[in-house]
Amino acid sequence: MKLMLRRAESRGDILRCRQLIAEVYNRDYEVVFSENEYDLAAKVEPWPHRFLMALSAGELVAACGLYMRDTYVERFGQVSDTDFREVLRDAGVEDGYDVTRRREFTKMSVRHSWRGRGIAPFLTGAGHSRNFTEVDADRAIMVFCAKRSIIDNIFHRAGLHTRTIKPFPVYKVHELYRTPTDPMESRLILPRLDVPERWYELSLPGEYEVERIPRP
Amino acid sequence: MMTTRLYGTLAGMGPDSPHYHGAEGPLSELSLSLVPLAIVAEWTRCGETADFVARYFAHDFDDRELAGNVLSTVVNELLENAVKFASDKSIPARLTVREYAERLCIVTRNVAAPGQAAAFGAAVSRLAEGDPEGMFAERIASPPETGGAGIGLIILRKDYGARVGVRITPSDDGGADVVEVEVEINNGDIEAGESRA
Amino acid sequence: MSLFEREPYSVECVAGSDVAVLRGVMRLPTPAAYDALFAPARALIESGRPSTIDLTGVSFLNSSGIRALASLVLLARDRGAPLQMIADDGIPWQKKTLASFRSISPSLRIASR
Repeated sequence: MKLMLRRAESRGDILRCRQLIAEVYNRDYEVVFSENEYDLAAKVEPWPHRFLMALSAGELVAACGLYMRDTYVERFGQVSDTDFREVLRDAGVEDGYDVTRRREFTKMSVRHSWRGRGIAPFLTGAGHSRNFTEVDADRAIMVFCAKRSIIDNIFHRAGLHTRTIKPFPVYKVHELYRTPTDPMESRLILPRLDVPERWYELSLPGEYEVERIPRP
Repeated sequence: MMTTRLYGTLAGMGPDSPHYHGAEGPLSELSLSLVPLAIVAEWTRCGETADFVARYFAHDFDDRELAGNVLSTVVNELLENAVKFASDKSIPARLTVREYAERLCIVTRNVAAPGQAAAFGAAVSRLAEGDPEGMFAERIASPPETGGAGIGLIILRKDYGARVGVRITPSDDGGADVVEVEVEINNGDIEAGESRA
Repeated sequence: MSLFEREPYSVECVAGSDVAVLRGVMRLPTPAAYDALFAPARALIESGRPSTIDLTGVSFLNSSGIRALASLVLLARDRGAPLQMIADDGIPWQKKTLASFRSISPSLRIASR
């Protein structure tokens, strides 16, 4: 299966991505969205700043987002600069990245009718391409929050290495997503170090064969 | 062909309906087609749409502020329901407001899952016949809405004197039903601030 | 004024007082969406002290919010905690809907401003 991957550029592209994500998230988690009046406690989510599109013959089948600043992890995950620096120190790369520059991979959504074909890990890997995140421009770090099963079955399956920052607090908006045995965490991904070259250097736009990656 | 089913109190469902007041057409009419997903994608649109529609018709009332507040409340409630209960939120829903000399008629139309639609219709029938105060108290005491006539429609009937009707048109191929909810309120009830139900 | 200027919603309990002041346009998507917002008022009621909920600043409250507010009334009733609501009779939903709360809690006091 081939998919065209490209960044959402036009207003129309962004609208299509928002509609797809809204449909998936509303159906699966009963959340709604707002540009300015988000409220996690009220299950009203904020929109990411940037989107990556996955198209099959022109049809948008999946999309993911990127917060370029004001990440979820820092706003709602109660993660501080100190927390980030600690992880970098443990990795021995304290001077290699600017912790005040953060990007967050988010809202990875695959249309229900397109699930089961390996798109989720593929798009998650592609979403860490420097051509999408532009982390090389300012030595930014990549962060995300997800439940453990997603971290294992999607992020790790894609070959990304993730570093635990801290548990993510409980919010009503995630009540249909997380469970006590499958909690959420904030995690950090160091570009270049933790992102395999096939993803980090992935050219965008581009058409790619999606291969199903076996579960670990 | 599946038969359309009617529930509750129906005053009129538009020019193509046998219930349309043909002798007295609306003095004013506003109709919006909107994709429920767009409201899911930006929730504030729901209230903004209600405010816009309310302002549009409030001009025809002596106390615009009061009428606008009431209309916005009513329209918001119906629009929220149309969005929440649309089984396929990418299919456009419709909101139509018709203003007559003595009343306002607000109709929403959306697709709904067949089981959900039937349960809703039955609940509206009960609402038309029952005591709204009693139903309000009963609803408050029961678990959150899972379908049916939720507390919103009960409040519209109880507090705004609304007459509520539902028309359900099943699909011929067993797919989604089309649900039209009609709420009619006397202009006097909109202006007076008191329910005359 | 900007086309998108909007009054934010809030619930505040002034420190040391037993009054929860609600303000703004409240049209959250579900009754559960009000849980966190109404938490300060809930905490007041759970304290068992006589408490007051000032609604005069709430121009709109949708049915999900009315249901959530009614849950607070039920909580006060079930706890035997005295509860008063302050309403603005000039705001239609307050004038019309709050009176029904007395049917679920006869001891509820509603004062009008």
